[in-house]
Amino acid sequence: MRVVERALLVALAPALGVWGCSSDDVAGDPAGTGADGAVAALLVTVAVSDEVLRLDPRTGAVLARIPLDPRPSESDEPHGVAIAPGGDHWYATLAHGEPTLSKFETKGDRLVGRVSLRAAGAARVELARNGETAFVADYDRSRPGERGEVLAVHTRDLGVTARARVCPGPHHALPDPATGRVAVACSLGDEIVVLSATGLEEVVRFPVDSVPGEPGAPRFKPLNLAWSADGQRLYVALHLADRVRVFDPAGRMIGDVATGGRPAQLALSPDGATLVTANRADGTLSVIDTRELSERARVDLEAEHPHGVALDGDGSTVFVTCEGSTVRPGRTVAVRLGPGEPEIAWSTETGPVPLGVAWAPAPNP
Amino acid sequence: MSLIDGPSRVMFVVAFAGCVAACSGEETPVGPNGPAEPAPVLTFEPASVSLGAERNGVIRIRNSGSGAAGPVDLVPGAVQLPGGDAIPGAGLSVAPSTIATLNPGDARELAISLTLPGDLAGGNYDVGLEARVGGETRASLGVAFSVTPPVGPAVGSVAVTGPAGELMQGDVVAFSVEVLDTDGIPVAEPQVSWSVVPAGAGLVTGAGRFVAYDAGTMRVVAESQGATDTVTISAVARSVPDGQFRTLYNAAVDSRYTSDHWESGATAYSGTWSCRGVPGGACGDALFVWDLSAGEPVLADSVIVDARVVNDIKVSADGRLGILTHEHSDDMQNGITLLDLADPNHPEVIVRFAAPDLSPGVHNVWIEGDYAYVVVDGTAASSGLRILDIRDPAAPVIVAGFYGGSSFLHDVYVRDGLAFLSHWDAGLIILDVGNGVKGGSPSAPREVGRLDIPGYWVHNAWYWPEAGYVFLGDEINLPGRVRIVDVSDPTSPMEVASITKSGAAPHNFWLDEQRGIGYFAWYEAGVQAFDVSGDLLGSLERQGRFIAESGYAPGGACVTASQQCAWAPQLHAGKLYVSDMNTGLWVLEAQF
Repeated sequence: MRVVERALLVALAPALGVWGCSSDDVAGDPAGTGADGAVAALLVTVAVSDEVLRLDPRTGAVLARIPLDPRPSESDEPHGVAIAPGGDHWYATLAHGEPTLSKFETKGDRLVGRVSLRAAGAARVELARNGETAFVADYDRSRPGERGEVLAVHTRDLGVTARARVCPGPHHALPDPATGRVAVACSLGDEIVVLSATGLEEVVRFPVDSVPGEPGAPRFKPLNLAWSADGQRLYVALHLADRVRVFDPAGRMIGDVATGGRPAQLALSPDGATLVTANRADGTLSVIDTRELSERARVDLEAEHPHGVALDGDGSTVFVTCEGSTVRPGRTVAVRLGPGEPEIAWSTETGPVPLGVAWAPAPNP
Repeated sequence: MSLIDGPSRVMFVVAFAGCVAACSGEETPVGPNGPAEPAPVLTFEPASVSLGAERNGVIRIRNSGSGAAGPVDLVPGAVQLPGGDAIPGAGLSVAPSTIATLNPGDARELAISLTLPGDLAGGNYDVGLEARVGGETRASLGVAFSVTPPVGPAVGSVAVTGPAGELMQGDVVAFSVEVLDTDGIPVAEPQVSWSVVPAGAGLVTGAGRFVAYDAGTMRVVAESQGATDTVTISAVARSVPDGQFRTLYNAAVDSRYTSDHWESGATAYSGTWSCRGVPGGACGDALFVWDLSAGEPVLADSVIVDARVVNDIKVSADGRLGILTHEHSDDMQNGITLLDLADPNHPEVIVRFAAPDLSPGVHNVWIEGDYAYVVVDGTAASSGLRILDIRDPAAPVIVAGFYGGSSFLHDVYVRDGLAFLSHWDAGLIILDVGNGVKGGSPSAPREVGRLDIPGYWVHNAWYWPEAGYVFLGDEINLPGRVRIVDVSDPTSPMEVASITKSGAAPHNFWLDEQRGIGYFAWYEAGVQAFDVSGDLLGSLERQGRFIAESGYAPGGACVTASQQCAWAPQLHAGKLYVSDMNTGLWVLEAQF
């Protein structure tokens, strides 16, 4: 099916029951209002309905549904999403069909560009600190033992400026905020590769364990990453090992902490003190004290298959996408963190298989 | 190639919200509520191009507005005579065909190139080029060119031979021509231009093949070096089967969107698609099984699988094996499920076959003999076609794969040892999987030929071996167009005809080859039946070949749950079964 059907989905989804959007359990006003009353941005990619949702981070209300797929007749899986540092644009990947990176103006959520990545897949997208370059990992499950690519895209004109064939199943390419170097989680190769910011040349490569799996048959499946602000710590979610490992920039292991089942994405609070992981297998969120490297709380999200996480500006609220299942829609859940026990602030139905999530403060007036 | 300079002007602007009729090129128009949103304004430079006898050129596209635009798709129209007749096999290519984004003030050069059939008659032609953003035309360009027959020896006379008198609209006839020099000696390889008078009443190719579009009297003119001959044709209205579709039954599916279907014996199987936002709605995790033994479909059973899209279902020719496809599975393994149909109304799962090769998702499948041809989502060299040996359906074995090198595979149709791959931007690709033309086999497919049609995204194909045609669909681009390709020489497929419909795009087809009737699903426009008998040439919709269209549900734009949104027709046991995304499975009677 094609464009008209997308209109059907977009038009009907907010108003309708099971797969509609309802915000439940609203508790408080997390993460969201600027000085002029403008609302912070919370964006969620929804894989099966091929759209991006704009949510009100305070309540979980769906503010906008933005079709993403240039081929709306097929289900092509919007995957990653990132918001430019100035908040004026945001970017989202389409994983299948023809993998692409799309660029939207934040004002009005207007599509202003889309580049075909000429890659096998497109998983997460991350932006350089200055917002001038986007890094996309070419994750494709069909090539378990083959090296996939990481691409650098100039965000102004969406030109692909560099591409490097790095390792099996690169899922996340994350620039170090301190140096700009790009760490790559090689999910099907049990290793991390660090690339130069310009040219994507290999700087260092290290395994996530002394006994890694064979290419294509990982034992640990490093899926996602988080850098500390000073670039001295790289946190790696080991999906098959139910833990996060911490490495220094040279690849020496600093520590290790157990999480809930099958950690997917992870996020680090701005002060570096708290790390959170979305645990796909058991529907939980792990809240980790990075100083102690211990799990200080595990939150039952009351939703299936947690996948993406994002923290707000002060690290007080974490937003988690939960894929749902074939018989239940996915949800996005806001969890308020604090000195006491974490509590769910709201939980909103966000369609079939929400994956990526990004938060940004309200833009300056 | 050189840059073609010329004046700039706005050809066509579609306004954004707040940018009303006054939005004609000025930056940041002001409306009653203050400054409007940033708006791009795209223009071609120059606004029209005359290539003359050249076949290549360079133009620019510029954004002179206040907002960025993208992606900008450069979509060529049909190469046509000034009278408006599309020329089969002719096309305009643009490089790049898409611009990712065009920021305010930026311009990009575009290389344009014409591809023309060798037998194109002399004369003046034109072709349009549109810049589209989000499906909306933002700028358009006319490209004119001419074909001038080379000067040859002086010609004394031209004599056309061939059928004269009365024929039917849509009948294709071939004229031949004898050209003599001033001494009455035949001219070897004469240069002849053909035309129809009045223009647009019919189409004649450079080789003298003619089809009448209109009913009435017209002349076919052959000209060579100033000498002419004319044949007068009287075309009568085409006689096509007379009648309508009658709606017999609806097997309504409200909880899920309906996808493809297959009928076998006294059973129908229908798939499900995506996730439906209605109370009680669900995702596409089901295959529904309908008992047809009483005529009206009665839900007999269902198969629930780990998927959110069961896009396709196929049944083997003997009716004993079914295969359904998985996409968006919870366990991320996707693949296919093979079904034992010993009791057709109550399928038993033989095995769910998942393998790394299939894990991105399987979109379509075809069963041919001992093999299943499986379409794997993705643009990697390891995606595309996978061929499975299913002699032991409990343990399929992947024996071969094929990827077309760019874009992605969407569908596959296999017949007479040839596999027709609908490979989206890469066009139609034909493989030998046992035909012998290239020595291929299912375990070692060999490419036979391919046809890339610029701006046409090949979504599905139907091969009609007796006629030597493949019918192609593009489900996205408007106006919708079914293209008919001559594959009598499969190494050199050539487009010869089309069916165009404004406002709707085609989805899947079914051909009643015995009667020469094609059934075409057009989403919101339902199903249309066309006479596709005989030789096919030119625009079939202009030849009186239309027979009937369905109206089993209200029209519209597929956007409400009760509206018609046809996915696929299948003629089975004298009835036409139609799967409709919104409303389920329909049973129609073609009363013609």
